[in-house]
Amino acid sequence: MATKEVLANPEYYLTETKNKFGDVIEETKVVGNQAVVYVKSSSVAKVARWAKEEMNFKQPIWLTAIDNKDNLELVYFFNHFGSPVIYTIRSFLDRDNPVVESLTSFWPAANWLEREMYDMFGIKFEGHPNLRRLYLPDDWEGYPLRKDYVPKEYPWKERVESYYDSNEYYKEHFKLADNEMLIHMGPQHPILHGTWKLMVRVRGDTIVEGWPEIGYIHRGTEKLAEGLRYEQIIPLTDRLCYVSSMSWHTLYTMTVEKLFGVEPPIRAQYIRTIVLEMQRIVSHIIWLIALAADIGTYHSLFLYGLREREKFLDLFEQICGARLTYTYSRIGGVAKDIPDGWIEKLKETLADLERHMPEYRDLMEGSELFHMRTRNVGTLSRETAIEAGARGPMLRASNVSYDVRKIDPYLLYGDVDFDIATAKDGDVYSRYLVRMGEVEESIRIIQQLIDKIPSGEYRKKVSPKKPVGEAFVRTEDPRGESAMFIVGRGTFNPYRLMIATPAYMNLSTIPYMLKNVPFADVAAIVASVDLCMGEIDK
Amino acid sequence: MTQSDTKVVKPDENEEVYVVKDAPILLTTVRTILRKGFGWLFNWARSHSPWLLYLGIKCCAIEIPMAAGAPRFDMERWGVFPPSSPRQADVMVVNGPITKKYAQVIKALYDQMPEPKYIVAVGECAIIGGPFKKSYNIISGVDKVIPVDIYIPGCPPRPEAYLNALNQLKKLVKRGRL
Repeated sequence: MATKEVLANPEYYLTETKNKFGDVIEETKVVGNQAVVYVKSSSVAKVARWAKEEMNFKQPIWLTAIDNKDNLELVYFFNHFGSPVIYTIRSFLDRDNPVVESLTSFWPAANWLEREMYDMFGIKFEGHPNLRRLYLPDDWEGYPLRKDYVPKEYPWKERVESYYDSNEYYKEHFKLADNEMLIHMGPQHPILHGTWKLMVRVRGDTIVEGWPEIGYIHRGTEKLAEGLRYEQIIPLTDRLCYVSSMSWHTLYTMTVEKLFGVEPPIRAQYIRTIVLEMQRIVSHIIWLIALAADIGTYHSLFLYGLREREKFLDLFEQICGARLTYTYSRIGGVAKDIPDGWIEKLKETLADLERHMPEYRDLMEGSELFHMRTRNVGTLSRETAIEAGARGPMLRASNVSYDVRKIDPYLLYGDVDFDIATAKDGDVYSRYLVRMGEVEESIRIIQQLIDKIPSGEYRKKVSPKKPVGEAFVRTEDPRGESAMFIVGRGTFNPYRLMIATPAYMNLSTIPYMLKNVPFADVAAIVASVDLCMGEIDK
Repeated sequence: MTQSDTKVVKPDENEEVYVVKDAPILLTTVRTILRKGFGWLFNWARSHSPWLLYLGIKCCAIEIPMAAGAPRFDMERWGVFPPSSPRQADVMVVNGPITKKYAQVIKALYDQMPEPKYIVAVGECAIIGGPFKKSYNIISGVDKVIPVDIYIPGCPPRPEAYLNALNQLKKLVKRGRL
């Protein structure tokens, strides 16, 4: 058994890989804490399977591709629950006929990731159970993220005139039994928290099967970013997730700083850590009131939670002037310094929240109804949660103690003392406990940092650059492990921007939870996931 | 539903099909008189209790209706109530980017709303496509799909702007459609 120091060393994995697969490995290198392996396309699945089973790389962080104009480059990122190393498998595919073996047979979490690559690049995955378009309509022509993509006119006006239901697929693939029914919930539905469609097959009052259909607000952020300059992309990444926009644009600026080789001033890092934790609190409050509204305690907690949120929004408004889409972080620091009296106001607000937390907990946990609606509902066991690709609070509710802030600290998370909130059962109630625990831990983190903010500059002047290289950064979003990967090829705009969104992976676990459950539990299960369609559809 | 305006046809033993005939001439006449003579009364009543269907597509949905319905802004002071079904709604509030896949759904929801119906477009995305205007999958504005009465600019607009728009909407509803 390898020790912890060995496990944290990327070289170890590269040597093991070379010993195991000598001739199929084309090249190996270490980039930061990434162990990068270039593999022949025919052996990708073999190496990935070995990495999963022998080397304990538990989940795919993301799968992406780069269009190199003469070939397509496939990039897999895998995470490890006991080490900061990211195992990266890269492979070159033929551009005209890109075919590669699917990982879904042993890694179910790769299902949606591969469908997205098929949708965006036209890469065919052999052995995939359901390879069809994910974001775009089934009859869309072309693959948008390819460099030579020219948009063709899509007949949406005809669709609007004669309501076209994309039922063809379901009619072909589902031979319903006599006592079964197929229900389309959405795309506009009060309990779905966004624009997506939940398909459920029911027998009486019991759900036999349920699965999500997404893509109703797919904007193509990744493609839009390729036509903008590095500093112009910040507002776009801001609008990825409307509940936690602070964490998304901070992640983007951190990735660009890594690519540019710029270190932000220490004062900016303090401010960023504080606002990120504030954002986590606000995001979890929104989640809590959405859950409360859906399972029947509508007006009490909904109004209390929004009251609490308004105080934090006031603080955000003081530092950047916006209530929702902040665009506060910049390349090389933050946009503005914190104003006078802001710290005192933040302390007051935190003290208020701390005082009110037992009340909120009592409102939820003190109610027998809440226990009845959430205990043993939507249970994901530890193994299923890992296999299905659950992230963040969803994963920690299934008794996995994994947090990027602990395992691969960024900003100032290495210096502060906090615990990872976990729960054992993996049901909706556990997810509630984890998120409430995280709010309390966030308060602790802010309180440790708030008195130590050093004086000095808050922003370094960074002139526009034409970087050549790649940067990969991952952070702990309120919804889980999020990551960005930027490829620069010597221009003012990125060649490729990859956005790895945790809510997307959490949404793809819904089929595991909607099996043989009463129909009334859909509301609790869907609310427990903490969806944000903006970041899922990108 | 009286016996005179329904007719039951039984093509199959297990199935009943209801066919609704046109309303009797007397009823239509009374309706027309009411509408022409007392339309202002209906419009006045309607303007004080708009039922709003929120098509929460993206960011603005957190501000409107969530924050606008919260204690600080409290839009229920204007008699606003959010029904869950478009069949009960007077006003549809659309926010967020309209994709080519979603346009047909918006039209379907619009068709389900009873007359007179009003549409409010919230935010830059719903007005012209916003920052995503150049995307391959975005329709530049919801007014390409359904007619819009009131635009609220902003990315996202503040709840105050929305409350102002509610008052504008009241004037519009009072004036009436015809």
